[in-house]
Amino acid sequence: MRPDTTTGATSGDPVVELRSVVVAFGGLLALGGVDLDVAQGERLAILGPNGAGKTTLFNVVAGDLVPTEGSVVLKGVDCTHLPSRHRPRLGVGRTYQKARSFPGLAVGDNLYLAVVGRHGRQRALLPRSGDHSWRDRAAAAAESVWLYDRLDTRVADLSHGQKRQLEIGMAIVTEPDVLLLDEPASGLSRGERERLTGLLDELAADSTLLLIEHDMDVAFKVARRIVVMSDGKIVASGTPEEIQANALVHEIYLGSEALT
Amino acid sequence: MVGTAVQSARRDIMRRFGALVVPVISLAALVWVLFLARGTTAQPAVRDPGEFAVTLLDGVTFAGLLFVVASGFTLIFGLMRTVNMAHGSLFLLAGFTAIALQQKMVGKTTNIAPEDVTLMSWIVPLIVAAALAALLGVLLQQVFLRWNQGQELRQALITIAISVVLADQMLRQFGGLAKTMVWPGAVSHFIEIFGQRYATSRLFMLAVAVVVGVALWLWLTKTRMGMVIRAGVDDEPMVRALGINVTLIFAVTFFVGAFLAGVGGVMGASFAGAATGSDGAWLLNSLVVVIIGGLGSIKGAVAGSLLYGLVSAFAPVYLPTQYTFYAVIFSFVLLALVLAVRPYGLFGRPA
Repeated sequence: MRPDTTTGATSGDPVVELRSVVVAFGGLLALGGVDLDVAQGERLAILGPNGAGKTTLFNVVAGDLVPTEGSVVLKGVDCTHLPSRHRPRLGVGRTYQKARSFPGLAVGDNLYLAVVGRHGRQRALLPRSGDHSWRDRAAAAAESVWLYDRLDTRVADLSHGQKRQLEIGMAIVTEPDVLLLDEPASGLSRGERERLTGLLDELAADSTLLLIEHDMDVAFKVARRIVVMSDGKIVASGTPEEIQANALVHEIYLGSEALT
Repeated sequence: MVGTAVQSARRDIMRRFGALVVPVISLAALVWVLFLARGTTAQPAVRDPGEFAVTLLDGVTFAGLLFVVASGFTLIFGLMRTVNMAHGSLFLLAGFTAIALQQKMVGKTTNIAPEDVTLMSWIVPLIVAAALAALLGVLLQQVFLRWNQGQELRQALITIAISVVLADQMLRQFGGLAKTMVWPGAVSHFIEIFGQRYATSRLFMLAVAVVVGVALWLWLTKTRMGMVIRAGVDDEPMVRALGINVTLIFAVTFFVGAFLAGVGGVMGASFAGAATGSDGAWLLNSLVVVIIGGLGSIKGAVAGSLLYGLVSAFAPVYLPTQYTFYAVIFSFVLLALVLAVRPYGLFGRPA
């Protein structure tokens, strides 16, 4: 299936290993020594107040940011200094806090480009007749995010929720082993959130999911393990029930917000 | 908050003002050209349709040349945000090279008549000279610009420096006298339009521009690489994040953009001659076209070329004779009007 993926991690092996990762922006310590292991097939949500370093942590895993100190190992391969464009070939797909896709292109073309990037070698850019399977994969991904009837619609003409759906489609079309979703439910309506939760639940059992989410319903429904961050550090980790019961977590993050 | 409210109110007023002012000015210009045209060298268009038709054709054919040059400029800017200030130098270098090559192929250096020039001894120099400009463009990009990606000011200054060096080297190699590329005999005829003679070579120039435009459009919309380039114009870091090899795309885009400058240079050398100084003039032309049309938009390059071409053809003919000297101002009036109403150009988007 994936000739360019050389490592064959079995279920339960850590696919993401962060070792004392430090990220400093000038004098500001965005991440102050984070250790995190994520096993294959795990569904992990990262919670924390604004500025806790959640997105910075994502950027480090996705390769958009090189850590000041520490190491990033993905599927047994040290990726600390590997640029982000090589991550899709390692099986890491991500979405962004603000939905990112190509507004001038059709939905189908957006998904197709994500497939092209997964096979991103030099000749992937040359015209070839035998790319029907890539088109088929794009169409299948569109179907799984309920955008099949929008394949030829320009992204600029989609609703916000549909853009989110598309972005998740662009991440899963690459068949990632590790999927990083940065606030996928932000700006979605209640109905759209339920669809999103369903979609994430349906992901293949061996694909690993890392999720930053402010919406408690989505985070607690999708995740089996929750990590709470504050001031660039991981302060708590456990099952959703444990986290809901954790007094420290209530104090620093949940505050007066009721957990339902 | 108050500041943004005032700003948005001002923007709103400007938009409504623009929606009103543009039709009024266009209508006034049309009425003037069609019915009044007092004190001009031309009669009103209703009485002298020949003069009008010829001016219109002049504008459209000149727009064709403008489009070829400016589309290369806007393609490079759209994807890489590089303002290639050496675009005019590539234009002029291709013009001079094609002239030298044509002289070799014809076997004469002076007094070349159109009858001496076969279609091949125009097209072969065109392709060779444009390929040379394209290779030089890629070389520039790989050696100087690649390392400064995203540093727009630095890239602009580097390309200005290169254009100065190239201008001096061309002066040394080709001399300071204007030279002309000769249109092939097959297209050097005259046809009658409302009793006016019109050179078919200008129509040929327009045809070449249309072929270039269609090829560019097919490349950008029908091929995988074109799709990646359009995606890159939308969001270049995102293309990178998808795992697509952007470095290769950048080199190819620079090649095509510089190639278009070269094709334009050869057409320009046939149309108006190649001379020291036309590098700067054509850089300015490209800038005006893409600022009117919107930086980075091919559609904008079409619209900008047509507007700029028509205004620069009509202004000298249909201004009262004592004001003809001011005709050149009208191109910049057009520029100012477009920017006042649409600050990012007709098809441009905020960067």
